[in-house]
Amino acid sequence: MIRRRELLLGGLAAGAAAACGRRRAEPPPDRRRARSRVALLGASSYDADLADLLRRGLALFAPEVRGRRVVLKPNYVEFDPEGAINTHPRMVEGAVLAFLRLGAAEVIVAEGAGHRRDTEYLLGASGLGAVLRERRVRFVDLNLDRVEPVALPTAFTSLGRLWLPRTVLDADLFVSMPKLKMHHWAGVTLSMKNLFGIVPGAIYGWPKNVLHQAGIPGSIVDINAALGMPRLAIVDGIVGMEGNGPIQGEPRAAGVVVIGDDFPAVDATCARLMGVAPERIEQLRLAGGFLGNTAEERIEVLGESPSRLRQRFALPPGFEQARLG
Amino acid sequence: MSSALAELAHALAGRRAPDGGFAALPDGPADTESTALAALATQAAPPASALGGARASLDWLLVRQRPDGAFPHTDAVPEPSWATAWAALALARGEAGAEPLVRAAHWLVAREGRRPGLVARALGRLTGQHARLEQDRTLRGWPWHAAAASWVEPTAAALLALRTLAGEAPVSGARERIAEGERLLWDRACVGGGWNYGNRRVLGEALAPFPDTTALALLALQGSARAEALAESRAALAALLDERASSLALALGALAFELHAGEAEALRSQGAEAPRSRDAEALRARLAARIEAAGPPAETRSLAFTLLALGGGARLLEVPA
Repeated sequence: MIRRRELLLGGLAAGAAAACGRRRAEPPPDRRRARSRVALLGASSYDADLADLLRRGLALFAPEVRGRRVVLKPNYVEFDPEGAINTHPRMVEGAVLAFLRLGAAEVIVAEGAGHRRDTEYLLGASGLGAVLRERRVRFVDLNLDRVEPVALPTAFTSLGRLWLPRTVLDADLFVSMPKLKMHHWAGVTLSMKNLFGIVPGAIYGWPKNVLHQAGIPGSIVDINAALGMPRLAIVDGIVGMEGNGPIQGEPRAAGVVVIGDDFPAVDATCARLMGVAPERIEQLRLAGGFLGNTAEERIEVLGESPSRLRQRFALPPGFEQARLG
Repeated sequence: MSSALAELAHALAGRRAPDGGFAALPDGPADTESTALAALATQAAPPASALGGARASLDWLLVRQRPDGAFPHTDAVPEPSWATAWAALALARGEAGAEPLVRAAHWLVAREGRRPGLVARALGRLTGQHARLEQDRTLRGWPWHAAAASWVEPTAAALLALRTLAGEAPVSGARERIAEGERLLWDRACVGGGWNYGNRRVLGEALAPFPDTTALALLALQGSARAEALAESRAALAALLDERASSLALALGALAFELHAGEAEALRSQGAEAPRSRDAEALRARLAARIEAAGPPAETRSLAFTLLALGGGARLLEVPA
């Protein structure tokens, strides 16, 4: 049954790519390091001293932030008071404080919500706005930011070029801060998929369906390959989401914060923590071929033991074959 | 309420660039949507000093209209924008002349969202993809972007514009597109009424409506023959406008309730539950109180809809029967 479905979907994707005139992809240059490091930090509650936890975690990667501008990109695609959709505001606050304590000249929180246009509502209802006011942190709505055309160096889609926000392009350090979640179309949504939120809605709309039409896994990889600035990922896995994510899934306490400077390595590690085989998630399979490390033997895990933190998140329907063996 | 109105009008005027353009946020580049909505809002409640500003904003739009009738996002992003619908509406209300309106109407009639072809639809049914979204993907509506499918908000804006233009800029095919666009909105309505960005269910699970998109869809569906479905969505909107509602949601909600007051009254006369015209008044009072407490909304779009709601601008969004 799964085999037939995979074959049909594969044929559909190939036909769609041909119909869209997908650019012929040259093999992208291999950007993988010999080995990547990913840190797992145990945290059972948002009441913990997250600024201190993150400061200790960031110290493992020694990011150059003194006097620099740091842009934090959490996930506020939309809000549900009963759900676990968003990077928790306390996690964002912890990151702000940690980077300021490391000497950052400015920390900006930036997001371009994917479903809700109403940013006033999102910031108010989610509690993020109150945190930002309290800490006097500037928020940039990436949906409405000034934009520049960016040629995509890879061709896993036919997109070719995207308008992207200047706040992100001008960042000295860009920090993707996703939630640890399952995703009904992409399998998982982590630091790489979180970059859909930098694509400006004012041009591409709500939702950013141009990326869906072009192919979600390919779009994820094309966007990630286009960013050249130093990057970090901080994944909020204190409470994640399993099942029919990224909106309607069930909250799942995972008690972990994951940090790293290689997004594919971070996402592959997160996938394993959720009981998902990264090689069966298309965007990780593609990214693992050139953009970053996804193979377990090329990732050094720091901090907590993965075996202690590993869980079996409920998979989204259609991704049963991605279960880690 | 009058002090809130004055504060809003002052804030809006302060955001107008010398060439008449408006940006989505202060210090941003002027864009079509913000300029069109600001021009509408200025026409709604114009202090005498702002009348020239409204003209300047309409001129800002006119000089940027593309040969194909569309309007660009911004000067830096010249691609045709979904906000062409709002530009056409602002120009129609500003009596800008028929020629640019006809060109805009032609562009709107020709514009449609991506739809899967026959083969893709057949494969989708075979693989179960079709059932995952519960959408009639054959319907033509309006997309945000040429390379995207149709969604609720651009469809609602295009319907408002085409229905408004029908009198002074009638173009071939508009009637069919309007009818099909209305069917698309009903196809995407949430379970229990209201609309979000455009998905009613994913993988069998119902998705919740949003207040702003619900109000926009209701504005586009003024006078729809589906009275019971309209009433259900008005009730959904009333429930969505809780204490967390934003300025934008309150403003659009007030406008929708005001323009649906007649239909609600007709239902009530038949003994049905339906929001009253005083509901629009109550929303305006909440909105005014919020403005007095927190100041004008940051986004020009929200500011413009707030001014339209508080300044008697509903008539500018009223479409001919």
